[in-house]
Amino acid sequence: MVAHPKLVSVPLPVTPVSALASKPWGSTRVLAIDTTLDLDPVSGSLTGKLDLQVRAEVGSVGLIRVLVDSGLTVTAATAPGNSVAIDSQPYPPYTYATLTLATPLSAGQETTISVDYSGVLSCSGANLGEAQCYLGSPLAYAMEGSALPVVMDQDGFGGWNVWGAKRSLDLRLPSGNQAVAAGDLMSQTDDGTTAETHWQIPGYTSIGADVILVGKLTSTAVSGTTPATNVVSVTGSDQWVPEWQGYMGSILPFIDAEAGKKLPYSSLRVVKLPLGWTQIFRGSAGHGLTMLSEDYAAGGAAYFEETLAHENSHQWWGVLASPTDVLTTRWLTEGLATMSQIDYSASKLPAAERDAYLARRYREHWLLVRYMGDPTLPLVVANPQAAPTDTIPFTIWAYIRSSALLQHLRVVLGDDVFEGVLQAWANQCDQALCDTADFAALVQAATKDDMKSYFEQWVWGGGAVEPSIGFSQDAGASSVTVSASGIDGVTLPLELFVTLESGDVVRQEVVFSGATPVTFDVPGRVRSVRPNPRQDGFVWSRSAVKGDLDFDGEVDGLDVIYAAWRVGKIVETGQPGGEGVWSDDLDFDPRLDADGDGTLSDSDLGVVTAELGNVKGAP
Amino acid sequence: MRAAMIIALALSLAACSSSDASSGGEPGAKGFHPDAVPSGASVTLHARASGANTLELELVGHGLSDVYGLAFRLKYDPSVLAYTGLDQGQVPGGAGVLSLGSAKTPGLLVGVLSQKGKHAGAAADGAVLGVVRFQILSAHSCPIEFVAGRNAVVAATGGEPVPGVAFVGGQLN
Repeated sequence: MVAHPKLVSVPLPVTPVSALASKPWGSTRVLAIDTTLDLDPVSGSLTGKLDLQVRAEVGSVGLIRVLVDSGLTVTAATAPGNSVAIDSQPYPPYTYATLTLATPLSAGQETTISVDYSGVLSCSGANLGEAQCYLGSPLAYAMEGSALPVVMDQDGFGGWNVWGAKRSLDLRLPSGNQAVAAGDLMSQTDDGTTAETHWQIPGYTSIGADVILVGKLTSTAVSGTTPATNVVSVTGSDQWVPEWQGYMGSILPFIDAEAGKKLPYSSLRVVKLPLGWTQIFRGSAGHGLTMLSEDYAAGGAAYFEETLAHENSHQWWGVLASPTDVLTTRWLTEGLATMSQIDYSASKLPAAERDAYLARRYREHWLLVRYMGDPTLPLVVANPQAAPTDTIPFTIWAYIRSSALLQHLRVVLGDDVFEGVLQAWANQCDQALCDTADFAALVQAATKDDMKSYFEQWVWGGGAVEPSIGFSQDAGASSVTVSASGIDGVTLPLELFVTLESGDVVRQEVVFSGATPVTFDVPGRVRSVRPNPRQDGFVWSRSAVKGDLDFDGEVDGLDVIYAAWRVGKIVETGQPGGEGVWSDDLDFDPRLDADGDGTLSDSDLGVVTAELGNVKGAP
Repeated sequence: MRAAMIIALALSLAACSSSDASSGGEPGAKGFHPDAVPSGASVTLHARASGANTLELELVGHGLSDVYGLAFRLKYDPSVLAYTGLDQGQVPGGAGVLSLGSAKTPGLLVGVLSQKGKHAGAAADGAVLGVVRFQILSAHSCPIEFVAGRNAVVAATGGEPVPGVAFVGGQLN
């Protein structure tokens, strides 16, 4: 999986101020962050200046904090008509500087705190498995928390642009170096001594990455796109550049269609990070900037393209539409990006094949959450400390479980309605304050069904959903009764595939309230009833009849062969010939794993063969 | 009179059991008479040589390739026949092949012949897929038919049923 925009964890104040209602900041609003950097990308020698325009929103604002690379020192801090004390502490891999105003700001007051810092970047330590910066030629990079400061206010808010501050960067490098940064490029010059670029990011709340890439870079235009798009690569490392030009020609229209509008940037730069950078900086997305390591080509061209689609979809799901509950959830950023990457691959298939393709892809979600994740975790946890921190549990929670629920929601609402919800979300949340509650409101507005329990059960709540599906139909009856056991107390909307004896398939939307069966009309004799398999990633259904694997309520030779064919399969990522984001065997069916050990064995097969012949009525 | 009846019965059973085990049976004037075999892929029934009170029907594959398994349901008159066993044939062949039959419902045999695990499929054009064994309970006639829509040849590639395979039963006289 690719990197996600990083957040910095620092000690919180003992008595944090509660956020204002509907706003993600507290006592302090940072209005602008303007940075000037003189940087040698090889030696790491750096001189920086930071201007922080801050306003007191509530009560008294007396301090602000900045974090920079541990090799740097905050040397001076001033504010007009005020004095600023500096208290620097080592907090590896950072220097953690608290800047205290001699005269605190009172509510409504603003000031600009100017901070000088300098030194040599150490680029030591790692945050979430990636370094904060990397020095050298032909490519160096620096994230927030290294050359670019991380800003935290007195309430502990920060680590990302929670306040929607406008940002600018004046970057000065030795002549001959090119630079790419998050932001709109406003100007660039090279006078033979210094290469200077000026970047701006409008003011909006966003977890979009703030990053600079510097070195010997080549830009190659992608024709026919809006915004103007360039593939950026290290000069001389042009493998995959032509392919990326082609990919972006498909990816941009795809994400435009998802969001219902085009990206608002003056230009988009898509940076191919070099081979070997998986351990340095794998990729991310920021304002007008998408980055991805060439290491992801190891999974094949299709996987590389799909992963590029994931990162570019973050332009909407995370950069421009950036929910403020980011410390407690990733479902509307990584979840939507993962859903988008799979949809992108599905879009390349004939329409008649897409449903089956999606069903197969989301089998991976069942496997990963069932055998390696925790289905009890809400997708929006109660507090930041409840979110997983280890890489695999975090990834399964943020990317896999999230996208599985989104796919289920899409089936429940219908593809067209869900498409409208996504477009409304992109429009409403575009560079605006929004969170999961806003998304829930959009979902509710799109359907007459009551979605309150849906969000309470699986967004703000958690738990595996494992219904056992059974059905009955009286002889000659024009209706069928379907039950879902094992979901006591749960309200479960499902789309059912009802296959008739004629072979026709009827799709029926139902809502199960616990064990209460539902009855609906059908135009013939029913052979099988099963949930739409696109929902299997989140709803782990099985037949109510032991040994029945095709949901026809009987156990016959087809069930036995289905099981026998799968004997020997295991749940394991990275399998040769595997499919999905982690190369899994998507023919593994958890319904067969009677002992739950992640291996389909003779004993699991024996559970099916023991039931052979349990069929309905006389022939 | 009684001796003549016994001789006639023996002759009628002998007429049903003239098949070569490796190539499918031939219809006799009495005994099991298969229905007409259609063109294209199919599974048919052929009686083969068996004892006086037993009937052995070969499940024969025609025009099939990549065979991994066979799932079938045979219906018959339970007052005439009693299911006694299912044996594997040439295809799917080899050790470890599943050959399972269940007659929990009177007059209905639910059977399966299958490889297990990762295994290549095999061609079957005139090959015996399995042998169903019955005990003959009475001298009455009865149809022995595959239950429509409940039979399938499953391919090794993808593990899915092969479309368009006809299943052809017959009549026991």
